[in-house]
Amino acid sequence: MSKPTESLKAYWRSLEAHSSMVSGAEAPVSHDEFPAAPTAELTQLRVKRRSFVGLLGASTALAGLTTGCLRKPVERIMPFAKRPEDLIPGKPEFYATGFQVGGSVLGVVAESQDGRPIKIEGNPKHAASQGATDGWAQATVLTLYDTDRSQVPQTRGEGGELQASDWASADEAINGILSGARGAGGKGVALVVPWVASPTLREHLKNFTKSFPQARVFLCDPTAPANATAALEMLAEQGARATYHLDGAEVVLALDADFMGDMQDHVRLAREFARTRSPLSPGEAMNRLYAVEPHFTITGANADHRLPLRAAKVGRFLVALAHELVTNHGVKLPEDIAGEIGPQELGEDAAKWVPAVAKDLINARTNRGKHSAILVGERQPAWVHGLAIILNTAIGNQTNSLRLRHDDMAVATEGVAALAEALSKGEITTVLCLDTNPAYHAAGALKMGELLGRATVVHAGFHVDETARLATWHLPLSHHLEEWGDLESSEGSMTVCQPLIEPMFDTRSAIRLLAWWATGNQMPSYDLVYGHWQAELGASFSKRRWERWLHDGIVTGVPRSPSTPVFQHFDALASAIKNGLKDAPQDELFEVNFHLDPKLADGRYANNGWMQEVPHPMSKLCWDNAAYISPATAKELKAENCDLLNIQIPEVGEIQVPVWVMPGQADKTVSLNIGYGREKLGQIAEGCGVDVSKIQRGENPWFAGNAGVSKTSGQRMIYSTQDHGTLDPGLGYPERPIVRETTTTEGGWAEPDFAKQGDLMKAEDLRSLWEHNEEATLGEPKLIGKQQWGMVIDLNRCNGCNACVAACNAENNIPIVGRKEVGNGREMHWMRIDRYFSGWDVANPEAVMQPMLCQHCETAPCENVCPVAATAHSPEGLNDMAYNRCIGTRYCANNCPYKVRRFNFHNYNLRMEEDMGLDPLVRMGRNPDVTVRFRGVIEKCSYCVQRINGAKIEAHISGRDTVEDGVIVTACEQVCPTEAIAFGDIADPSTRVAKLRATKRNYGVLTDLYTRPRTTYLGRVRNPNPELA
Amino acid sequence: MAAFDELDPLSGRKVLVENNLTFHDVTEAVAAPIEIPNARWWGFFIVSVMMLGLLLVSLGWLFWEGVGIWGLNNPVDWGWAIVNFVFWVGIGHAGTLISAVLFLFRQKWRTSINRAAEAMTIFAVICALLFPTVHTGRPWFIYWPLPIPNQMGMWPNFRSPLLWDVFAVSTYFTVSLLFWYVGLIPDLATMRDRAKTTTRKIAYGIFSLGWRGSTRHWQHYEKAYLILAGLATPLVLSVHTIVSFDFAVSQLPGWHTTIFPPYFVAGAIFSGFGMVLTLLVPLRSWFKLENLVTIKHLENMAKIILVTGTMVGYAYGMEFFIAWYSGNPYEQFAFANRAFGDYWWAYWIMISCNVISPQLFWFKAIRRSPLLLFIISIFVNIGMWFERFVITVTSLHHDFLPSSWDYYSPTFWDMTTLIGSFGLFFTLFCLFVRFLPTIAMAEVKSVMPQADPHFGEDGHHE
Repeated sequence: MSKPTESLKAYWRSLEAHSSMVSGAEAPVSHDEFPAAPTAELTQLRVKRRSFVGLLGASTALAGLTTGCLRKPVERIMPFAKRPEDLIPGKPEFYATGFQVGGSVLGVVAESQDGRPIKIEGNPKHAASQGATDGWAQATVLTLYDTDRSQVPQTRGEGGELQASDWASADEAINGILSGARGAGGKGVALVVPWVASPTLREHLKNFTKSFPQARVFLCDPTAPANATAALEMLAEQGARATYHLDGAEVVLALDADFMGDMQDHVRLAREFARTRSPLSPGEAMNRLYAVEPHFTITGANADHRLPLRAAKVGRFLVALAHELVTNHGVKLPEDIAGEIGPQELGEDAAKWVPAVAKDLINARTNRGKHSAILVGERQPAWVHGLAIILNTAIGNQTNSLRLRHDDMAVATEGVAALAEALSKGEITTVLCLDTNPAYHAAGALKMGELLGRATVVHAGFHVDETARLATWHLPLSHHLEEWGDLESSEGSMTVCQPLIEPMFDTRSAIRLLAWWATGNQMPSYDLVYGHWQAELGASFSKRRWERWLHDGIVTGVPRSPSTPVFQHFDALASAIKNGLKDAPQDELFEVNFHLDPKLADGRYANNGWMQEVPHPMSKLCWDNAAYISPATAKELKAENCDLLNIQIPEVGEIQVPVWVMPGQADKTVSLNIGYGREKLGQIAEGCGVDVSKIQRGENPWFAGNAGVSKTSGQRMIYSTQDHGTLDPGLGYPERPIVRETTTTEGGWAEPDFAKQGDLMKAEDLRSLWEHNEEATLGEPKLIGKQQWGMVIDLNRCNGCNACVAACNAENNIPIVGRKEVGNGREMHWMRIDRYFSGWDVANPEAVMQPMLCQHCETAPCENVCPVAATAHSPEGLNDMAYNRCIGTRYCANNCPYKVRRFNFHNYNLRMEEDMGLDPLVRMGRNPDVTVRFRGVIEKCSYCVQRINGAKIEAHISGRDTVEDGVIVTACEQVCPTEAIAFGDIADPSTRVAKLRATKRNYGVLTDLYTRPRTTYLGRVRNPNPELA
Repeated sequence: MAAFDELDPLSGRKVLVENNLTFHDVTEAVAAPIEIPNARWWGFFIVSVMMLGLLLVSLGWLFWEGVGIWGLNNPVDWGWAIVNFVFWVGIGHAGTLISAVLFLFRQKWRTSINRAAEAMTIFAVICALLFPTVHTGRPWFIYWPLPIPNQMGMWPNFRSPLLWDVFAVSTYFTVSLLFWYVGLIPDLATMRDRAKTTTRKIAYGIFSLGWRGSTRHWQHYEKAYLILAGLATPLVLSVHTIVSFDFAVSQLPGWHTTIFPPYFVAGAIFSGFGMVLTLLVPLRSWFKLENLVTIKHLENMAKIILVTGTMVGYAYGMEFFIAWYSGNPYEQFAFANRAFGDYWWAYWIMISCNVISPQLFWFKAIRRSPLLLFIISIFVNIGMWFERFVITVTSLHHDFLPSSWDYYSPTFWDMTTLIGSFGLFFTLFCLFVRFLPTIAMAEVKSVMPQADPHFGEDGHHE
């Protein structure tokens, strides 16, 4: 598809200009004044920019011939002369809606400025988001304004290429396909769906299976909790579902489970985990986290103990743990399963772990009201999930950290492997892909692209992606902020999703399409969703109630399914365990692991610049994926960063991926992130990373043993935003006390004053250079404001998930600089998360995360060096930046010890629009409260000064001279899943931030320079198990 | 080359003009090359103008695209532009030192080199002024640091060393230009009187301000010259002191050092004399000025280079000593990183060029060999450029938080801008040697034996 921004531009000009253009393309003289189907005409406009300009000129000239004089086309901008009710220009409106990635559903509140959604915040009323979001939810706004979105239906033309069409033709053609299939009872039809969390969509999925009884439904969604669900359905019955909960969990064992990063419900789990993670004084209770994983994830970075272990051994670890619990702690397991449990050969470290962890899990149970949790990640096969469920139940975690429910509406689905088999046998001839992309997501071993080419494919998707290019028909889907919908989170909170904007292009919602396929009728999504809930509630439904739901973002009064899953098929699990343990992993051969990408998920954010540019939480790589290997493995392979590694999976294939050496990676394993290497998807995604799914195996695609890994010639430059991983670069550099840590001991902390002990200078030794000078412009800034702003960041809570970085991008109009400029070290993020490794063991170091943003120093080093006073202090203690005054000497950035000032080396905003092809849509997503910076000026975190001033104006109107605590919430604070960031008035001792500043863990970074930072940190406390220390 | 210097028959000191030239011979020696076009000059001029063109292209692209065309990145926000600025300001030191300080100290040998050295100063400061202007993100607002009353009611920030820099360098430039021009007036009058074409007559006529050489003119001239010398002398010390404040007043380890002002001044004189040698050694040979710019002159300059080079070497050592003595481990790291970190090669280039190569000037034979002097002067120039590179970049690239550390490398445009600035410098210098007397004829004549009131009394009249 050619870049369709030209037609977009036309769309945003006046309607007059638009119609003259369209007619110019066809019959220049005759104006069709009232085009019958303007959208259809839009779709035919597929001209390149040059010819577009030419046509524009030609049509204007011809218009001149007919009218006798040349006039500029009339373009009007329309103020709200008649203001829509309740809309105050410049004042944002907020609407509750929902957001989903795989099994994770978040209730969110979307901010709209003059009808344009610009920012997503968490909905505090929603149990799954609890007021926070992840980075993906933040980035969805940019996806809405993606210029590479699919905009019109397309069909395969004469030459086999996709050509623009319209919905009328699409309706007709697909109705033809469907009516044929309906006659055959749906035989030969496959419906490929993602993880369905929408009740309305589920209703129509049921309808579909009724209309097409012989059709088969397949699940193709790498973000879906497929293995976890398979385990539950194996143990209990179809529709059995489980959720993990960490509230009150004293001991958490995460087995290849990145529950802070990409696991289902990671936002809620991270928040629940953080609740008992942050002791403010010695002796306060704190949970303990064990992580067993092959790849260093943020969960591992936040663990008290981390064991790097091959993925194939994680299940064995759990078996060994079960054996330990059964033999030494009297835990009872069902007989079938107990029969399969035995000691395992795991290596020295793991052997030490098993008894210690078992003891800890049992100890947690003995505390009243306390419990533990064993979490298994989606990458592990179903039997490991099953065993974890059994163990959780056996040690009393069910109803606490493991909760079961039954989904009455669940539709049985099959995996993509089954789809591949059916396609190759010719059983399936028609494939309907609803918001799925099997050609890209299915494991490479399945050769899905080739197989789909044999069938008639109807693809509904957001982009013209790999599957769309194989399809007979491609139908563009609306963004979730454009259409009505509903979502049910894993633990049962339901939300009606409101649209914030009319579909910008000629797109339709997935709900509407599925309902159409199922019933043959096309209805607006609103009617479908409204109708669903009306039917669901029956007599108790009322318009008033509906409006309440919309307002709160929570659906209430829906009866829950009375049935709970009952575990009965222990024999099935037992044989699965037996099978799983059958082939011993060969330690001397490589294991290749595939992971969801913390940035791009399964690739759905591949064309999203914010997610591409946000650094990988552990490696800090941007715009690329890599083959992560441990330092020892790198030595063995003689590979260095950026060297190409040839990774070969027997009988599947091989790929070349650049190396990134990652301390903490299990030896002899390679970790790869999926979601990259997408070709022809869009300008952002082009050339980013390598498609690693090509070497995934069909069965259990997440890891593969017996792989051949070798260094090959050549390099691919990949860029990390943080070159120096450790605090110790050598040359006698003594570690600066930038991050301060202690550990818990019996009833206290090893060093109760560890935070203050890190100060290199005593407070009384620090003297201001300016204190003698009373002159306002020469002395210290006069902090005479009634309220003094400050921020506290809790390093115990922060897990490095990047949500704040993405939120800051969205709130503050931070430009994307692109792959090359990141390579030049010029990323613009106002907020970054510094990741440091610590500990002497490079094979298994500890890692810490430290969000770093403008510290708003009271005696800011940046201020006195600016020759034009472009950065100065506000009376309320903010380090203000006047972009208009800045001439760009960059002296402030040099003198900033925290290096948080960012310089517009180029006109990055213009580049985003022109070079990255985001014009003009990206402008719609900009926050009008924040200046869009021009080239040549410095910018940096402002503590969201637009929010501070907004709140101050509100307070002023209501007659107060101060803003109450908690009213001003900065963008980073708002989205933080772990509530690690607190912002407020430090002059008032009753505020949250003042109280946190008064705790023992509070310290400032580089205070020995007498910067007096307003942002302070709560030092980290680790809670190690003395038996493993 | 004379094995022994000629001695002045009256004072018994070494003569400053060799081979017993008369006043007329001096005028001819200096003025003739200006009046007759020279093929070699054209060659140099065309190359210089081409390099100047490269500068203009680089600046055009810079203004169009922004400073992102250079290799700057987040921790290293100052790169070659600032390095070049300090380099050129440093070069611009020797001229005023020779003409003002040596004048006050009655160092008569200064007379045959001061004109060229001062011209070099003016042109170097022009090159220097270019860089802070174009290195800003928005150079069209470069006048904002000037205290111009404006409708915004905004004053510049008087606490900023960059602002001090604006004043220091612009003052230095103004005074140096005036000083140079005042010194030129008698010679311009000579040129006017010798001029054969109308253009020359008019141009030299205007700029010689009606100089007729009356006693009254000479009296005013010498007073003005003395006053300007007195004004310029403190500026020689202040300008590089203040340039060093750009670094010393910041708080970056490696920049924040009290030794910077004297160290920068010594370095500036060192580099300035280096550049004077680079220019004069070929000039005296091509323009046949060996009798005026004698080996003795060159030797004197070599001695100054030896002294200042050693001072600079002392400063390098002292920086390390203070870093150790301070007991501040981060300060120690900053210097260890300089010598043994990612940029070790730059540090050792600097040490070999600035500290080791001038030590060769202990040998008289080397001091008196124009070829060796020229070669070593090139080393001095290279070394002093690297000194500024080492100071600017190595301190920035590893600063406080290791998370931000990065490596800086220049781009194509960094290099063209530096090469282009040499184009600007040499273009101006070529124009200077083409149109203005390269040696202060009037001043040289005043130190010749013939100018002595007692000359000829012993009957040694020729």
